[in-house]
Amino acid sequence: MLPAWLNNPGMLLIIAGSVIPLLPYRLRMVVLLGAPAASLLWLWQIPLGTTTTMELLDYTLTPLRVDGLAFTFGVIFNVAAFLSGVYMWHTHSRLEPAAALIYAGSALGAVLAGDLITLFMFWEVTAIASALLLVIRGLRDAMIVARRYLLVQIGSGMFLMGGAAIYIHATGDLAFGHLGLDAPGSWLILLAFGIKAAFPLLHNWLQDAYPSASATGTVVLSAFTTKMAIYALARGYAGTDLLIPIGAVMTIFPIVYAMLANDLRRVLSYSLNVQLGFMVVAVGIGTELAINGAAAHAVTHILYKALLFMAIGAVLRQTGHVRATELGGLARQMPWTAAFCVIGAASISAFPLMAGFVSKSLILAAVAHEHWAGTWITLTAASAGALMYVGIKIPYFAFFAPNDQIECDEAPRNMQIAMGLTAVACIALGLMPSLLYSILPYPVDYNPYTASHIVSQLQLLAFSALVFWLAWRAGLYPLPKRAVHLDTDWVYRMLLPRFGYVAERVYHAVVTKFGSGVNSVAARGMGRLRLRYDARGVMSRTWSTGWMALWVALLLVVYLVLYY
Amino acid sequence: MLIERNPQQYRRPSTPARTHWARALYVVCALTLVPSLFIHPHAEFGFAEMPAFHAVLAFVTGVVLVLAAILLRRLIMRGEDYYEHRT
Repeated sequence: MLPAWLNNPGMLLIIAGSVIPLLPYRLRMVVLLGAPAASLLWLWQIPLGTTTTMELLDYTLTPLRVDGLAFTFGVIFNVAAFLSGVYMWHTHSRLEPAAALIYAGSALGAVLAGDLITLFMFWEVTAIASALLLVIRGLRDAMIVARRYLLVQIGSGMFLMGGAAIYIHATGDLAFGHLGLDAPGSWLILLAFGIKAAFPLLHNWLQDAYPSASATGTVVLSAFTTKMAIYALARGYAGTDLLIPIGAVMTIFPIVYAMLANDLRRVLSYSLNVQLGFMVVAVGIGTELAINGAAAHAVTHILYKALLFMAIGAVLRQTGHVRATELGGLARQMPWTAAFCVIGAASISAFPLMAGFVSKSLILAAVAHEHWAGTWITLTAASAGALMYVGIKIPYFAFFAPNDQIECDEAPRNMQIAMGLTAVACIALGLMPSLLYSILPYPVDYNPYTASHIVSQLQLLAFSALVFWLAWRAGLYPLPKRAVHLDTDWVYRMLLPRFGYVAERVYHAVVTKFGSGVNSVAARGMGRLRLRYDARGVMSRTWSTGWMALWVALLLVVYLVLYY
Repeated sequence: MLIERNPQQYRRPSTPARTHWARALYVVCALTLVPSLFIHPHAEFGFAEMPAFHAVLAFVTGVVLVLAAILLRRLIMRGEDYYEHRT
């Protein structure tokens, strides 16, 4: 009998990931694929409703809880880990498979965690392991991005810790069940989840970090962090009305950014954000149908988004380019990758017979059933938009746009197999929705393939393609450009450092005018400030460290105040 | 704020093949409208039962998105090295 803390499929992946760097290449690859497969089988045979507990100090932890919701996310996390393992089969890096497995294992552990303390621990491991995926690329820019990314992720963990501490102290209950907004510490926990779920204005770490990872790293990154957050929201905040407008905003505003972005992986990152919006709305609705919808959409979304990231990753690996302005015409050189990319694009655009269609329909049905008319229109409009900003854009600019400058070969065999398997999964779930519906948290009584539903979806697709074509022909569709489009990262990459710079200039002006009156302590303080807010790179990260320390201190204060 | 011109020429003169694809698209659009004359959906909302509701919604959304993207680009586009010159 395993000790309770080890008795968890997530720990299997984490341990496998930890030993992987020590193994020779062939054995490494066996573990890379074997561990998720074994973990999936293990999870599959644990009866629903199982929990295990263990004592730690005065607390009773629940390191394993398998119920319907945890099962759905657990299954897809294992599948995603397996598929990305196939995709990175060719890599000779020792660290990347290790980081990928530890990352997947901690996300799985978080989903299977039955209490807030266990959740917090796995929550933090996902942050560190995923940052490692960015760091090991070794590029200078990637390192700077990784630092920004890690600070945001650890920040989310700090909020979770603070909120959980308040909650546990006030209620004496460790269990991670439904929280709602009225529970003590609940807002902090919601903020922690909201950061990782890329809520509006908290979203920009995603589009900052995901395009900076390696071709294989992004595929891994895209699957876990955000869907773990969706799971946590579904567990703690199902039926919280506030999430409905938040999710609705998430389905719209990143679309425009996705239309403008040049880096194709950034386009996909913005579209990932849109898809998260669908899930957040579903969690906000909170009925059984809606939670099923959120879980189903998480499953299909992980698959087709991984497929798209795989296809673009293959392009990046083969050509060294990932920006639309440099790409095009690859359908001839990489026909298989192009075909898989088109399947992923059809899936995300919710073509009937594709995975996206059967999961998105559940969410739309749940929204309609609860009579949220405005939200329903918003989501329907957002799914019409999907065709324009990713369904057509990604395959066109990578594979079909006129460009005869690039000579390259088809992607390595293992990448093709990974894409093939994922594409087959996308089509299989679309053709046989019962396959998907059978692993959902609640029983499903829903048929997406009614005549009127198919017709309305086809209208949606055909007419958004029509707008695309008319706008294109009229020269109105915004073509990709080599440029930066400002997003909220502007605040911490430009505004705050600038503010520091201006403050320093003002200070110097004051000093030169009334120099004698200023004492050396203030001067030293300004020197330190200058260190923090100095130009070029150092600023934002040192600034963030300072802020993070401040937040930790603030959280501790809040906790102390409430404690006494 | 110097934006390099796009080196690729996306807008080629229309070829016969492209004209055919465009015609096919118009036909498909028309075809998707035909069944809504016969099928009366039982939607949760009255407005969604209007024939061709989804077609209209998709068209309007598309136009709004394109216009929004054009306007937003004017506001937020900066040179590629924007974050590298920040003093």
